[in-house]
Amino acid sequence: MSVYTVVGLCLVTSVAVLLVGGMKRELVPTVVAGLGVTVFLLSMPWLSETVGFIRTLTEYADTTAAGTVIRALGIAYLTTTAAQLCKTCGEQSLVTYVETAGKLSILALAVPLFRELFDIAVLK
Amino acid sequence: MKRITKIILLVFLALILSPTAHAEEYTYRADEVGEDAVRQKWDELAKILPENVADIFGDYDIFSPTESVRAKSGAGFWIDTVWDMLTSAAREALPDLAALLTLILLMALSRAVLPDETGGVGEAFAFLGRVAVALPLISASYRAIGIAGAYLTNITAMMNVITPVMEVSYISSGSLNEAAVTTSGIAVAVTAIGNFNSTFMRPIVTVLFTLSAMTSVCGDVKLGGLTASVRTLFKRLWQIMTLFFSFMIGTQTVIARSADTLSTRTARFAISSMIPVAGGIIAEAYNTLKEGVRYIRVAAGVGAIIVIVLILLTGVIPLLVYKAAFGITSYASGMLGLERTSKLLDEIKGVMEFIIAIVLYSSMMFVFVLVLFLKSREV
Repeated sequence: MSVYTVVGLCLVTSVAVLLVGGMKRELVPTVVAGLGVTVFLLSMPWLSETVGFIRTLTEYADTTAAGTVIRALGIAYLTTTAAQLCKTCGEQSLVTYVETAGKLSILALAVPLFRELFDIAVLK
Repeated sequence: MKRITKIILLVFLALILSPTAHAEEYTYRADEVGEDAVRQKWDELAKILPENVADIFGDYDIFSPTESVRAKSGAGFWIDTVWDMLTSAAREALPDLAALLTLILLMALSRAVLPDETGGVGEAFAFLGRVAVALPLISASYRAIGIAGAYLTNITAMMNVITPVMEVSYISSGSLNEAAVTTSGIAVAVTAIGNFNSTFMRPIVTVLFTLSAMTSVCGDVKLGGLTASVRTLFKRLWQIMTLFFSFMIGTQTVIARSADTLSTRTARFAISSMIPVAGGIIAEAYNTLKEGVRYIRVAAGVGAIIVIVLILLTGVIPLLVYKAAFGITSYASGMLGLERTSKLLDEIKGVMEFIIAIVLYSSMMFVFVLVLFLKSREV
């Protein structure tokens, strides 16, 4: 999958939105949300390639924190995309819920790091 | 604020100098004084030299420096030795440096991947990232403190061995007052370094790390200035300690020398001329050190200077390597636009500078003790 495919898909969808918008306005958010999900899924291989490179670096670096940061990055990316989709669909309240869930989930990931930091700094 | 600083200084000074050195009446046996006893103590000292220094100077005798030792003073020897020390310290610091750089790279990468309008999620992620960076950073810093602690333990042990040798030398020559004065002075220095190392260094550094980490992780808390103040306060305190030790040895030696002169002999002990009692702390301490090193060179040869410098390097080089690693990561994070992380790294680098300063002041005391020891051989 190349970036040209994604760009082409976006252009075609834009034209489709223009056409559909003229006939049935309420279908536009659904089409845009569908495109968003497709683009997200299509860009996954690139993200996993980047994550793979970082994982290789992590092996050299011998740090467990990098794994946690990668997981948090994934959550942040997923949450942001979901929030954008909700926004496109005009569901502002859902945006808040999704973001809150994302924040809590990232903070939960930070707890073991905090505990480790506390262990090193105070208890060791 | 100034009053609080003075109170802290006084309390700390009182604590660090406890327990108080005291003198006891003691009758020496014949085998405890004389050349054999001195030789035996010197051998004990040679046994506790740091491993890499002992490898180079295993057969070194401070009383009769050999030609082979003088040959080790060439530029080639120094380049090889310092290079070996640097590579071994770098090998130890490299995993920490790699971990820090990976995390910084990851943070910078996430900035590119995540869109600008991430809002709260982006902030939460940045928060987690800063905690993640703080983790290997603090861990590496404690490893560096461990190196400094081991070094201080080492030189304290060496000073502890030198003291009885010196005492025996004085007693052999009949200078009982000088023996009492110098050994009690050194006992104060050893107690101060030992107490600082075992009781105070870790809590102080923990406070500094906590303040730095809080400033970086929780951006609203502005504690950077406080960290710098605490650091400066303890650095000044250690300078005063060094001066206090020099002053104590200096003045007491003058009194003791007069007492010995009045009793039986003409004293040739001239340490008071080397001790700073007035003027700027740094300049005087530097002059004292310069004179001390010059004296050691004359009394024990170039080899002794090399041993001292090598001992000093075993403590300082790993700390400098860690400081450089923190400097590199700070520069990298600044370049990648991670200002808060860069600030945290700068703060920790500042703490490392503080530890290096303590190591250098303690080394200076070690040089003073060695000078006193060599002087005792002249009396």
